[in-house]
Amino acid sequence: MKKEEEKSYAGLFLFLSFILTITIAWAVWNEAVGKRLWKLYQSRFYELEKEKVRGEYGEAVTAFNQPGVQEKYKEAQRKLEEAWGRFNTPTVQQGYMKASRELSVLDKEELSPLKFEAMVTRNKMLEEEYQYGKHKSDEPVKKIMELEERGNVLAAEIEDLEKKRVGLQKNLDESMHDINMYASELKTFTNDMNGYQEYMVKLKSKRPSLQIYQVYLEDINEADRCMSCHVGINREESVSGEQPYANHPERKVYLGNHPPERFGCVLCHEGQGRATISPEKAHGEVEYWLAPMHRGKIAQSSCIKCHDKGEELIGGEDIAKGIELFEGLGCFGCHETKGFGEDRNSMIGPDLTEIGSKVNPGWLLEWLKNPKHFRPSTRMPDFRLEDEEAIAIASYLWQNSEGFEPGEPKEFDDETIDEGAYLYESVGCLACHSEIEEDGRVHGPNLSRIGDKANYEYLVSWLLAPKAHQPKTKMPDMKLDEEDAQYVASFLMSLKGEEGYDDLTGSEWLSNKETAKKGEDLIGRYGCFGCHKIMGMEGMSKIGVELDEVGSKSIHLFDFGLLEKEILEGVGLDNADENVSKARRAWITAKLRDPRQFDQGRYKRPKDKLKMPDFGLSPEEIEALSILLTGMKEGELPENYIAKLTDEKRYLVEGKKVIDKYNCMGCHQFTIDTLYLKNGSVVKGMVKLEEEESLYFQLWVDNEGLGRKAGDTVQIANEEIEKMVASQGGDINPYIIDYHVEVEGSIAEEAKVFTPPVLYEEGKKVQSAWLFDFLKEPATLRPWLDVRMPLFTMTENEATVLSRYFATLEKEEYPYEFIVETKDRYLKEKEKEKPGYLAMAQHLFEHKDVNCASCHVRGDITPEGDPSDWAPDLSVARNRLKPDWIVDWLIDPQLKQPGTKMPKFFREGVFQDIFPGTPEEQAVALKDLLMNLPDEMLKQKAVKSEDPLLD
Amino acid sequence: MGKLIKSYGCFLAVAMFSLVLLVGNSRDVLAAYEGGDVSNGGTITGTVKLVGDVPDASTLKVDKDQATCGHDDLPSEALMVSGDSSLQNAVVSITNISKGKKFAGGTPAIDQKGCVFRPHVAMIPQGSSIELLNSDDVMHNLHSWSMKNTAFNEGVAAHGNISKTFEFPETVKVTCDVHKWMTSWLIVQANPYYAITDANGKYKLEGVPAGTYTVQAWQESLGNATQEVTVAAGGEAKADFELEKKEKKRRERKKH
Repeated sequence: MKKEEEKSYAGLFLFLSFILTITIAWAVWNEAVGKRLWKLYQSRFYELEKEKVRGEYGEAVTAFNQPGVQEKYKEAQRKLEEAWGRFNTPTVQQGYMKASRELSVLDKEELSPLKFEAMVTRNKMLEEEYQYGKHKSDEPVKKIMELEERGNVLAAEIEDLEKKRVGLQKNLDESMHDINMYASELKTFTNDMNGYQEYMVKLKSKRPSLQIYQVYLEDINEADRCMSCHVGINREESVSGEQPYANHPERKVYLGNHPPERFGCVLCHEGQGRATISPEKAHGEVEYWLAPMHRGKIAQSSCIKCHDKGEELIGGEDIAKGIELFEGLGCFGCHETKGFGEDRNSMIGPDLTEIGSKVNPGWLLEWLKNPKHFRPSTRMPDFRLEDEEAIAIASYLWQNSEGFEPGEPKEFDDETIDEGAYLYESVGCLACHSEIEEDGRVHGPNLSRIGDKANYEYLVSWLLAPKAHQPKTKMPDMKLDEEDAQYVASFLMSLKGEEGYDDLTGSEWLSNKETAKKGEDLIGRYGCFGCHKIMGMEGMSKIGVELDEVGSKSIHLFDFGLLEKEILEGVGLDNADENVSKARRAWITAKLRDPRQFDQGRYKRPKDKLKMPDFGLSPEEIEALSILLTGMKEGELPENYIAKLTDEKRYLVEGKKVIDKYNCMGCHQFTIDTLYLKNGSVVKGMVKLEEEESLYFQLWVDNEGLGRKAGDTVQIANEEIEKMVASQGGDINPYIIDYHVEVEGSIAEEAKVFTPPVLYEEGKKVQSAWLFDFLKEPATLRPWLDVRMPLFTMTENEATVLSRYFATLEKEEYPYEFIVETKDRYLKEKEKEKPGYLAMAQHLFEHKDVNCASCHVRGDITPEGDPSDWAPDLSVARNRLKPDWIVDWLIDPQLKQPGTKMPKFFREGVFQDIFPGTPEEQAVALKDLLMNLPDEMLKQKAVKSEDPLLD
Repeated sequence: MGKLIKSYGCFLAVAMFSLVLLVGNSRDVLAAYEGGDVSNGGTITGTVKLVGDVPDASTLKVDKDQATCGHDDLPSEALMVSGDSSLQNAVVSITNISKGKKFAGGTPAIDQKGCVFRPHVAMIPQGSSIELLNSDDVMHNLHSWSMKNTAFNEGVAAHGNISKTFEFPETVKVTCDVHKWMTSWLIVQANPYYAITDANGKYKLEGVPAGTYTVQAWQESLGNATQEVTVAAGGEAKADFELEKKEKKRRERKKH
């Protein structure tokens, strides 16, 4: 053993110092490089940027060197030289020099002295005026007059000279014209190349400094450094297809409206904006981070943090779909959720208090067991009831139903059914319903095989007054008389399937009290009353979990049952904490796909079992709903982030809700077709005819690009069209047109007259107060229509919202509007201008070549011929129509309503003996008459002496 | 005022320019007809007949302005069939000819007389105008239900007239909405090879250059039928047409 002093530790020290060196080196490397990944990303980004410009420059050079382009370039060069040659000939030069000299002489020796004198004169005048103000003597007045006169003379002289000057300048410009033109033409060849070249030089000269880009969102104390890696996120052009180098997809929509300097990225995408060490950390995709990044569509879940749910957002289509589903499926029937189910005037499912008189019990039983089996498009979900459960529920409902005893089943002859079918097709049922198996029209229930389900007597009574049976139904009163209701009901009863249902009316269980008691418990458990009105269940509270803050609910509160591992593995997670947001969405997705799967393999008492029914959702629907649910988070952003709707927008959002509720677009067309042409112009109107290579398009708005006026039909080749946005609404029109073409033998264009009125620009047409009244209580305006405006029994608020919607859409005054035409003052003035004004207008109205009364009803007076050929009652115009619209209408009705039977009367130079003036003046006069129709024009003159009894 | 003229002039310039463009474009799409001299042209003749039962002559009810229009019902011209099923007022035309004889003429005017359009079927060349007259003492309106040409609906004073130009070939229904029984048809033709059948259902297309063509027969209530016809130089080809009445949907309207 060596002595201590003789031992050498050199090896150990060497070893340790080696380790120390490595450690230091690693620490330095890690600090400088490893934790600074963003530096790599930034340098790479600038590299890519250079490469891109280089590539583009290369392309531009190649394009320029193409023989064809070179030829044209040389040609332009040659022309420029020629132009210079022409310009340099002595005569042109002399002329040019002379003109330019003259111009300078004119400017210096004539114009400036005059201008100076004018200024002096003006100053003197001001001084005299001031003097007058002080002394009020006559002398200054005289001087002022003189000065003014001098001023006028000078002004005239200056004007003359200016004119002369313009002429000279024009001469000069003309001689240089060719040169300038060819020079600029020449430039167009090299513009691209030069641009890229300049850009390249700029990139080279300035070395980009690598730095952290941070946005500090003060109000929510959030530092957002995402753009340190995603440097090019807000660049107009992407340098790469990959992140972190690429720009934001649909950048204009998303970043245009949310500049990252103000909003950062985390506001929508979440994640850990402060972190810069690694992408995983920055994206918050690490254990226990509560807000992992929202990628792709999921980012839309953040829209509702700031935006109103009703607002239509470009780029927010997926969450909008989720909102629509949540609303449409009635999720809020069981789950209390802020902002949903606030319309107290509507109901998710039908009222069941008359179920005993409405349906066949055999049908009810099968329906409860599997609603989608009978009606694939129904919103009613599948509760997966056992037979006894379904019997018990049916029994309770049956015993808690009031109404009349349904009569015996009836048979109907073909003629009755046909008449019913005719009414069904023509009065407007088809706007919401379809009797064809699942054809996609789902606003109202599909009616195929309805005869297997319903009772005839109930249908008749229902059709006559739906709201008397179910006060909250959306089904309007179609204003059928009893006979018509019977026809329609008999047609509906004739719609039967092949199998039908057993008649179980006499079954014991239907009236068994004990069975009903069991049913009551089940209804309580499944919460049927969340969507349906059920007797004895009024005021029960919702049975589901509140969903207000489900997007930030702790992942440990979601019960995966025994499936946790399986479900998490499915989305690539080992445990839920790894990415809580992903895990939450995985649970939501699993729940929506198979709501009761978490009970699998566990013992539960019946009342503790999961009860959520199966909605049969598609994967896309589940995704949309999970986006929405992800976005329902606790906490609110500070006020200045909230995208408050302006009043105008709010009116439109509210109006659209009511329009959707009552399906106004089922009948009425609301918008027109828009064509976006490849040359950039936008054409508005309606497609009239589509052919293989082109379409015929009727303009509804003047189009300067095409040089055509509203009303004209133009042919547009398909290859010129970039995109077409089709009109919205009028879903029923094809059925009506089809009927008139097939049965009545009209041509399609004529048949359009029988479709419900188009509501495009309705706000410009009708007075809001009238529209409110009409919505509350519609009256027949167009006697030729079979389809009719039903009585929706809207609330006053809904009618207000709708009439305000139309006014807002056209930027019209609402609610009050001053109509000057009806005021004495206005008429007196008109009389003063043109004595006998209204009387003359009346002559025009009654003249045999205008003859309004030939077609129009006015008050009591009806035209000759069949009532279905009469035109609207003119006595209504005063309170219904806006005066300006009447004038436009009279000038050319086809422009306001293409295809209308109302002809144009007033052409230049006609009816001068009756009402001299332009067509506009004649139209204005008729408008004034309509706004002031005297009573005697509305009453049948009592001249006929015949005994009315003889008629 | 000067400004107005200027802006109007500008509009006009744009309009003219677009028209040129449009015509230029439509030529591509439609392959416009080229007229010239045809030597030794052939002829296509034949008759157009109705297949099936000859329906009873129907009438139109005159329920308005009877002082002018008369008190009696008017005979309907929607389907004019003679005893041997020959169809009058059917239009026979070649649909796919791009070169042939010169195209001129056409019906100069449609008149409204006694609340009836005369003639019931009229024809003009594409791009030309027609006078629309009113020889009655009452106001009529002229409503064109066209799809390709700009549609119009204008009141025409008693003894007044208007003139309209038709840009695209098309079969246009023209009605008077004031008197709903009044209907006429205006055929805007792209080429001169057309004929309207006489009371015996006969027609004749002359000066047809030798070749094979699609010939169409159209009648307002029956729709159309086509056949391929080959014409030899100087020869006469025969093409008879039979049109069938389409079955209406079973459902009839109930009179209330």
